[in-house]
Amino acid sequence: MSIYVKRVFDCKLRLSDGYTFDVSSFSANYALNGIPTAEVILPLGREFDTKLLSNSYSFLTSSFIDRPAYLYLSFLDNSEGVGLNPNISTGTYLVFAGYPSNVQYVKTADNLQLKVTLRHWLSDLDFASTLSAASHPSNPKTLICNPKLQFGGLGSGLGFALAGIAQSIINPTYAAANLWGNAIFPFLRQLVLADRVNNSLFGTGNDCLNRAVLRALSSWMYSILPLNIAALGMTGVQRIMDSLVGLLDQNSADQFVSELAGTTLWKKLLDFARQFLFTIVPFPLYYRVEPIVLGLSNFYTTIPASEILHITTVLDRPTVPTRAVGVYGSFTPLLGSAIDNPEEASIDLIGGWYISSSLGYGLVEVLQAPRFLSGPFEPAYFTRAAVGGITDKTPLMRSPALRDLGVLEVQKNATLAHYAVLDELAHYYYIVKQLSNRTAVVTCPFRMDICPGSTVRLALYSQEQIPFEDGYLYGMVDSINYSLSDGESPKTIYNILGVRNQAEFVHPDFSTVYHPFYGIYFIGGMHR
Amino acid sequence: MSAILTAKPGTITVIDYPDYSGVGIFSISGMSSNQAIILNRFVVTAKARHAVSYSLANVPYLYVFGTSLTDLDASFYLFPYNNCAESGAIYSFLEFVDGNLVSAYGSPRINVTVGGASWRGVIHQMQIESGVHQQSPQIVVGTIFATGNFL
Repeated sequence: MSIYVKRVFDCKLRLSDGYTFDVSSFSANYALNGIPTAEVILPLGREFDTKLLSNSYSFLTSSFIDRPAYLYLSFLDNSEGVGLNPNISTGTYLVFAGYPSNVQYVKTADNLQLKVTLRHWLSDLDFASTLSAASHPSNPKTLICNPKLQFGGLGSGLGFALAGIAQSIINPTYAAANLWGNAIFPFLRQLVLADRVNNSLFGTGNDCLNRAVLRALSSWMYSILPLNIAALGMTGVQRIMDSLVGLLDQNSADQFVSELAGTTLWKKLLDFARQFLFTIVPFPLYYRVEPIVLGLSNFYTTIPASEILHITTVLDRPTVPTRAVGVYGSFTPLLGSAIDNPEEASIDLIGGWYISSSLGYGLVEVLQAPRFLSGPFEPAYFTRAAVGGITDKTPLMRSPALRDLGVLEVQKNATLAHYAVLDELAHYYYIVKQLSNRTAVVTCPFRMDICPGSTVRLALYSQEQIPFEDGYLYGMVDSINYSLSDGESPKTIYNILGVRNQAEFVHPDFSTVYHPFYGIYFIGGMHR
Repeated sequence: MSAILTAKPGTITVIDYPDYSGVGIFSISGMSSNQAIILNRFVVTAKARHAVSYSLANVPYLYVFGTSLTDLDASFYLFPYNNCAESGAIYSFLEFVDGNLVSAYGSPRINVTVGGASWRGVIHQMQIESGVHQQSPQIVVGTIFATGNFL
């Protein structure tokens, strides 16, 4: 029998100014769209031979709050007769980088414990309000703070127009090639740079702590979000651009600035993630912004049975099966009375469907498309008949044949010519519904070769096991827990969503290789 | 030995016989030389701190954290009488433990020689028990439990 022998060589918490602490145990959590957290237990008392006091006491006597801290774990491989598996407990790992945020000291008659809670550096984004000259609702018209132009908007000495701010940052052509790098990130960056918390009042700007906010925001890597022009069509791309460019324009401006003034950069980033269906993947030293597909019909890596210590799976079907999902957008014909009273003239159209190829029963559900796929479209997007054509006859309510013809024409155009992306969205939503109750918890020896968001294949079959299907399960890693406990093996626990078996992995009701908005999808990667 | 103890329970007669004494495989510095205390048994347990987990494919993963402190347990017969006189063995033993328990001031260490190897550690537990021997219930067994490491 082959035995992997791993020596836990070292586990240290290092602070930026040279302090190094031995660590008794730790637990670190990484989740998609979440700010990672960690807890570290430090030893107290005296060193056995030298009788010197543990330096951990300095956590109680010094102020280490908000000082950069790094948690390292090192292994030496002493295995014999087995090949080195670099994925499992090999080398030195930077498990966590952040700041001490909480120090808990417990002393009882027979126990002593010092627990330090760490916050990930991404929390710097959550420590900064998006309050800025351009975003504060009271500022745009306030002469005293003179916020004009710093954000790039149109303005004058006496006034400030929100319109045009985003245009100065976002180039639609480049944004379509990379929505993150050329649109959303520059926009958020501008929010930071345009910080206009009143320095004379506050003492520092909003991005205090040595420009930690800007550094955190800029610490992304490898992230490209090219819009899927084939699915969106030029119309859809334009709608996204309109949405971004129009962030601070017209009617939405008041609402938008109110939102900004009441939130943080992190929450604003999450807003964008929800709206544009991308996901924030946290790493120890950087973050990625990726188009993750829950039921991806592809996988990053295989976790063999020899690397799984424990697994629990729940492959539950939805309580109410879904037969089909439709997606509707709305449009407001900008003609006639609708110009004056558009909300009354708004028309909802189901523009995309996904109908199960195997379920002949179940709920038919219709969901609303994201905000930017609805809205006041130009009449030309739809048929002349739909909007009361300019040159053709308006369909008459008194003529059922003409009326039905008009409806059919609208539906046809809405489906075929307008938004192929709504079909993709319907498929995306359908898969999410199908997989909503499919989870797995997989415990492995300590490893950091799989990041959150990775789609993995679990090979459960081994000679000693009863075969499960043909041995494979697939799923997407939603969160990861790294832990080292006294007397226990160092472990990595993967919480996996969207678990599918081999048959479902290639079935369109459960799996796809398309992201509705982007031309690529995220398959996975190392977490180092 | 059982015959002697049966005849005079709890009594020991010390025979001065140089060639027989001083085997010396085990000694504790600082312990009384009261001749009514004799070492009965010692156990030294050295351990590695480790954990083993088995995969679904029955592959074991052995994680080694390092060496644990060594446990040393030593038991002594404490004879109440020495040639029909009170020996003071129990008092000597209690006094030794009281001054060397790790909770005493300064967290004192004890030095032990085991087969020529030096061991240094702390006493964290003590026990004395009478009635261990049915035939000689007055003999008390004193045990110390210590933790330390070989130097």
